Amino acid sequence: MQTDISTRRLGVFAKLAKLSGQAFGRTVLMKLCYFLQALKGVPLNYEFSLYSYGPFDSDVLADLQTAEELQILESTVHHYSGGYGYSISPGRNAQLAEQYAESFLEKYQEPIQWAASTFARRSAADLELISTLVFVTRENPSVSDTGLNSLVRAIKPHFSISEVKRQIDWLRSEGLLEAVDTESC
Amino acid sequence: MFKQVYFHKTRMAFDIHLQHVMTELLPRGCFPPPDREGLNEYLKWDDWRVLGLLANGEGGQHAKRMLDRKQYRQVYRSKEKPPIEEVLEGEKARAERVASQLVGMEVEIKPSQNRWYKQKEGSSITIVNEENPRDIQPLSEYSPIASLNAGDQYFIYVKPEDAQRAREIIRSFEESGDMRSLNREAGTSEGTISNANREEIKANKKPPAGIDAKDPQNELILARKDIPSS
Repeated sequence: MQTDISTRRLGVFAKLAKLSGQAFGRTVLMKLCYFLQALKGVPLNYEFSLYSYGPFDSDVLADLQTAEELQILESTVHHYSGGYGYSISPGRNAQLAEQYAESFLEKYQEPIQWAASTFARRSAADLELISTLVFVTRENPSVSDTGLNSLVRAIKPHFSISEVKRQIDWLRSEGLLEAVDTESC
Repeated sequence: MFKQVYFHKTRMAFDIHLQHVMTELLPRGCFPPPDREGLNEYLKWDDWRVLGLLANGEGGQHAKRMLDRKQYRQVYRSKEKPPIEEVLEGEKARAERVASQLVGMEVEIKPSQNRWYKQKEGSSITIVNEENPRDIQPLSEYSPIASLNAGDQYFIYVKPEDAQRAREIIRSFEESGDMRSLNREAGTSEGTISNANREEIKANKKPPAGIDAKDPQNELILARKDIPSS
């Protein structure tokens, strides 16, 4: 039976929170969803647009709210001198959410594991840059690495040429700058 | 406004009928494209024209229902705040299970997306940071209300002459316990339904009499999202 898209998303959220091994913030969750969809073709049916901190879809935040209300995830707000941030961890119903999305999580077990282990502990700045690089490449598939560096730095001048190059090189070495087809479900 | 107007059961019933009526009235079932060639024709399809056609007896049986106030009746609505099991099962799946019990009836499943701000690409409200104009964020980053998702609801409608029987069938279906969460047997290869339950659901889930489930016009009868079936 076809699992409802919300059920899949909530199951993925629960799984990511469990696999990450430590609490992460909203930015990380947003980027994990983006990477799963854009890099591994996991059909989460989000529609990402590029904003200041990288690809964004407000449906991710809406689903996060739903997950919090259903106690699939728990969020704690941390206040610090520069502002505040969120820490997201599995809630008491996380296991239930995984059970309902069992077939979907089984099918995409490898990419979910990969996303959690590769990105969950990265800084928000790293994720912002990496996700922007991927997004820009998808919009400009034939751009060279030099051109990509210039394009991204035009959007995000706070990153240095060497920082951008480092991440481009890493993405290339992982084969992540080539487009993938999102599997139809 | 939502409860008393947008989601009023009678107003929603007329939504259903109007969709069928427009499919009947429009050439090939859809509006002329509002492009350079078709714009004038597109603009001619206004309220006056449609209401005039209805008054002249066109629009099929759904138009007649609207004029005679014999609109479809609501026999089921999903909960506004369902328990977690129902959310994870999927409100659409639950509504379809209910609808599958109403064999021999014309059934309309009407979804309603409860979203205060429908934010999709191109329609987001963006906020520019006054102190840093390069910092552009969608509204939902600043306001939790903007990303509030109250959850989708599903409503089932049938002909008024079938309404009483439909309500009885649904009530006994709910009381029989078949509306509990789907079987989540461990080791089920395809997720949340055991093979025995799947066969039972398939057996019950026949399209209503006279309704071709493959006919695209019957989307209104068997509501679906943009997710192809497996």
